[in-house]
Amino acid sequence: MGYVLAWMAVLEGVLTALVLGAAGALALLGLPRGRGLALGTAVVTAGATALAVGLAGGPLPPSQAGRPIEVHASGYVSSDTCRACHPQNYATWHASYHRSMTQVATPETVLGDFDGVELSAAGRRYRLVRRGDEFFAELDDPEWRLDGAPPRVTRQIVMTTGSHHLQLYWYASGHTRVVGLFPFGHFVDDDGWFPVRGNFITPPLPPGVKEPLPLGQWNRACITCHAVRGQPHASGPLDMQTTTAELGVACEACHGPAAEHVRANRDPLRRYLGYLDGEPDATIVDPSDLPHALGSQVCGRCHAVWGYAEGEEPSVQRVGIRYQPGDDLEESGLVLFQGPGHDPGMFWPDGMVRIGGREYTGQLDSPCYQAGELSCFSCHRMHQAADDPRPTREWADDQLARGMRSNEACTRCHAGFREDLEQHTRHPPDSSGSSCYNCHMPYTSLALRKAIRSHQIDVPSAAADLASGRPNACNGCHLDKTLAWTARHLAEGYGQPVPEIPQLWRSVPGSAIDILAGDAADRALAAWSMGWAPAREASRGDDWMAVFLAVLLDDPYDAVRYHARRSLRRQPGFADFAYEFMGPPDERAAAPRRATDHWVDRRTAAGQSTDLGFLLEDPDAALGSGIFAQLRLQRDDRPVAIKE
Amino acid sequence: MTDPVDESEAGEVSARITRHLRFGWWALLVFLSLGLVLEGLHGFKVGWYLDVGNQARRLQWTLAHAHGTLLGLINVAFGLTLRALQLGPAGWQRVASACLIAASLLLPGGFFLGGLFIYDGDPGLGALLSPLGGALLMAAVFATAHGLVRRGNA
Repeated sequence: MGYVLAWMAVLEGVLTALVLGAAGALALLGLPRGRGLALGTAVVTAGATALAVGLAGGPLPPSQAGRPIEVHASGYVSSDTCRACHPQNYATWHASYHRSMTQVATPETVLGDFDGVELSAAGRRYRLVRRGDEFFAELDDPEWRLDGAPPRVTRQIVMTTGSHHLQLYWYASGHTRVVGLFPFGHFVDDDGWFPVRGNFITPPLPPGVKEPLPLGQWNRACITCHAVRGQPHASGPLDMQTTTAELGVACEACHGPAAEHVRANRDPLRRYLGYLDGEPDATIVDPSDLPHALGSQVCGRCHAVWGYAEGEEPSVQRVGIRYQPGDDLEESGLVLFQGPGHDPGMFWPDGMVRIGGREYTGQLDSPCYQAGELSCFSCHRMHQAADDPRPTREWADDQLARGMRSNEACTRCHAGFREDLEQHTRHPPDSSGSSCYNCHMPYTSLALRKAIRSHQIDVPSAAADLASGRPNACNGCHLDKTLAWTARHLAEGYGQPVPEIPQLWRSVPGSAIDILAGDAADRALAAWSMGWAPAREASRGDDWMAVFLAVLLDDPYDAVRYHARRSLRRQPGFADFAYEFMGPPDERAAAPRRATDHWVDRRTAAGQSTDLGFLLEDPDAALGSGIFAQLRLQRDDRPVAIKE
Repeated sequence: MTDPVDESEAGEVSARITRHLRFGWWALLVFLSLGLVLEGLHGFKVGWYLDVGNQARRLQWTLAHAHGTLLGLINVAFGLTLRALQLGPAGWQRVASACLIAASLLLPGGFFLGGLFIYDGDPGLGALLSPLGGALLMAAVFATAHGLVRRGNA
């Protein structure tokens, strides 16, 4: 687009020169010699100046130095071309967060504050500055490999990723088109800068270890999904002439290259015959018209856990992945990972995916997909319908089709449950316990500092919880109940066999065990659940959760502390509780006691008990309410990295 | 110097003048009213007209308003031309008159119908009437210009 504008400026300069030249010539012919010569000279000079200005401002492209660029080739035409004929689809795509998955850093796209902001984390300092319309970061030299203090360098921020919850920034490394991830991101919900590392369940860096500053991550990996037709063109770690057909997830990421479609549809007769017969246009891919498996793969290409087939990666590092919409993913050099035995940072032990953004992997193991016609487009719409009355931002949040937040998503096919919903769910029909989603797609995945619904549709199972450690849907809502309570109810209501349950899990609520003794991912998920309104309503009131969340305020994992803070502020009396989850270590260390004292003071002042024994299902057993203190000492501190 | 005309010929010309003046003024009323309606649609931010997905409708109806109004003026001008020059009946007048009336219906009518039902960025099939109307308008203008040139040479 910048080039087009630049050449238009040249053309404008040339035309101006011609018109003024012609006017000058006429003036010379029509006026007395002296005045005509003067006027003509002035006019020709003005024309020459206009031409020079046009040429000077013309062919220089906007700043593309040191970053991946857009090249319209190989049949790709870019979303600007699609706009003319598909204004509604263009507008809704433009309003979606897919578009902003990669953007050139400009004053319009950058959300974070670059006005001299100084940041520090993991042994490094950073300074952000804005000069005119350009953004810069001062940081340690990312390539410094020697001992001693690294020299300071200034790098231009050239690209951004995201605009929904989080915006990340990429700086030009100075080597070809290789970019590096700036270690702080702008968090939209909190309107502030936080270390990118703290966004994820990632083991904290050991003391004295500085934050790594890797280069080329976007060029080699992110490009696959955060741009259209990304081609790393990697010749070496710092030699990448990276190109894309378009930055961000644009039209042709899902519809395939559109040059032939554009060419064919210049013929109006063809277009109108197409409108009238209603058949899909063979010159372009419409994922929602494909068979459900192939259509879902268009999303699965990015929203799945996959790797490269053997021998495929060298080619990918040159010219990108081979897959195009409509292809079979596994025929395109990609290997989908599914089922047990894979990376515990991505899967629960029973094979259910545990990270957000990989929903296609979950869908693959769903009976509705395997035995039915379920596809991503059964519930999601990539373009908001023209008759959808919801605000565009609401649709864009998760791109669900109208009405798909309700049970209608399931009862369209499972119509029988419309009539006997209460009999099936054993919950009042208008309660959250009668939501199909809450039981069959519970929040068991983590991403973007929140829990996300599993897209592997299944039934709640105490046995699966026990075997895999994956919280079951019942205890995801009934946070005050034990696993034994769930097993009993599933047996009574649905005839499930009751598994052998250890005493701890018969007596203590699963949420308390996860918070006090779970690993970092368990703690994060349980902390998130305590801020989830349906769970707070279903858990005998919520004025007992604060004391558990308080424990997490000094958790070693940034993301766990974030969840704890978020949920704690939703507890009675804690809305204004002062606490910075990235605050100084000594303040964080004091926070649990401070929060607990606050809770005790409140309860005492209201004449309420502070004994948590009521949470124990089997208080006569050896486990007394002292079990909570004991569990706290048994926290699972094995390193956990959730690879969202 | 005017052509000699008998009474019946004068009646034919007079009727034609009257027809175009009436048609032109009524067309102006209709299409200026359409302009008011369009302003109303803007004023009340009616999505069916203003939403980005309906830009084809907005364009078509804007064209219907503009062309209808212009054609109303052309009809008035055509009638006044015949009256001012006190022309006698001639074949070109019949052709020009018929083409102009037809164009005045087809050109804005096609744009209006084309905006009634739209396909993404394309107008509905009714828009096919517009190029036909455009051709008839060209024919009317050519017939008039040619007729006036011939009369001038005679």
